[in-house]
Amino acid sequence: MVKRLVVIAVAVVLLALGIVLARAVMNSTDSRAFPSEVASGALPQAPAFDLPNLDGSGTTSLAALRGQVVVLNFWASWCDPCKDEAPILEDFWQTEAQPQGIAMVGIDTQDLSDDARAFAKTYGLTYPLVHDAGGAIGRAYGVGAFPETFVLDAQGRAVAWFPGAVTAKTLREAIAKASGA
Amino acid sequence: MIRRCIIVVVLLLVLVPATAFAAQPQFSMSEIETELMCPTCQSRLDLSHAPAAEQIRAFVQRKREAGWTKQQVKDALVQDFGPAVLAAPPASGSGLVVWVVPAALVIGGVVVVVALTLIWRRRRETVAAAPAAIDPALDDRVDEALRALGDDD
Repeated sequence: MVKRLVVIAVAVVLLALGIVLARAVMNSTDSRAFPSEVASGALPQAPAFDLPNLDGSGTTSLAALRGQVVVLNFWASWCDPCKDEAPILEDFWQTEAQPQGIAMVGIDTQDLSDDARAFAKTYGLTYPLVHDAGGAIGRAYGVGAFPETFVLDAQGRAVAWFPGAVTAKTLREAIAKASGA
Repeated sequence: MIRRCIIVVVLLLVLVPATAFAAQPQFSMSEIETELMCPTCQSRLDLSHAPAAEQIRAFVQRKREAGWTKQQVKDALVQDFGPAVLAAPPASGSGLVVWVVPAALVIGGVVVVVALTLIWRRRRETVAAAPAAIDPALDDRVDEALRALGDDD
């Protein structure tokens, strides 16, 4: 009876240790794996998303943008470089991206949605903005610093990654690469 | 005139305590800051001055002054930042593992120690109760010596 109890208790302890170990391994997986792959030129498939629009009008999915070159910009209202970048992105959207049929999505992540809406209003952002509630998509893209921008080709493969604020020139070059990829 | 005064007094009695209660902070900043995480720096809110932490702090302060409860504030933050914004994960879903595993380790460990102690104690009692085994060679020598003594008689 006592021996059986020992066996059960040892099994419980081993199971618990196994769970702890499994969680540790899961947590230790490289959170920056996706941008690293993009930087290496591997053209990884961009993680899918279907996120609510920041203005509350439905959702935007990556799947719906298939066939277009896509600029994905991860931002947050508390991020100072995002404040410098916002006018550049808005100008690029109005003068180059939208006229050329290039999709642009601003993904607000790790942020309060009310503050994000106030930010969008302050900077007069008119390109599609979505809110990544919970931050799962930001994590899937390995976003660790703000802002970060990815450029995807028409097949949804990531061809370029820019940690930090982008310029119109860098976007133009990445879009040219995505169009020819 | 008297009627109007009564109405004003009644309105004051009804509205003033209600608004006073609504604006009453339900928790302290230092208390909730130890229960929240900075989402970008993975440290507790009270230990962080990252921009995201400052944003959360300002939000909490606003809602606290508006009379929100601690749970309401936490729920709103979880909605935008996910459960990782809580210092202690919720005791449900995958967060349950964090609560159950240490408990299982402690209970399992205690059961193993108690059971092993019982087994060792029982074994010691059995050994103490058993008659001492005699070396057969010694037994033969004793028999031989006794026989030799008998022959002498």
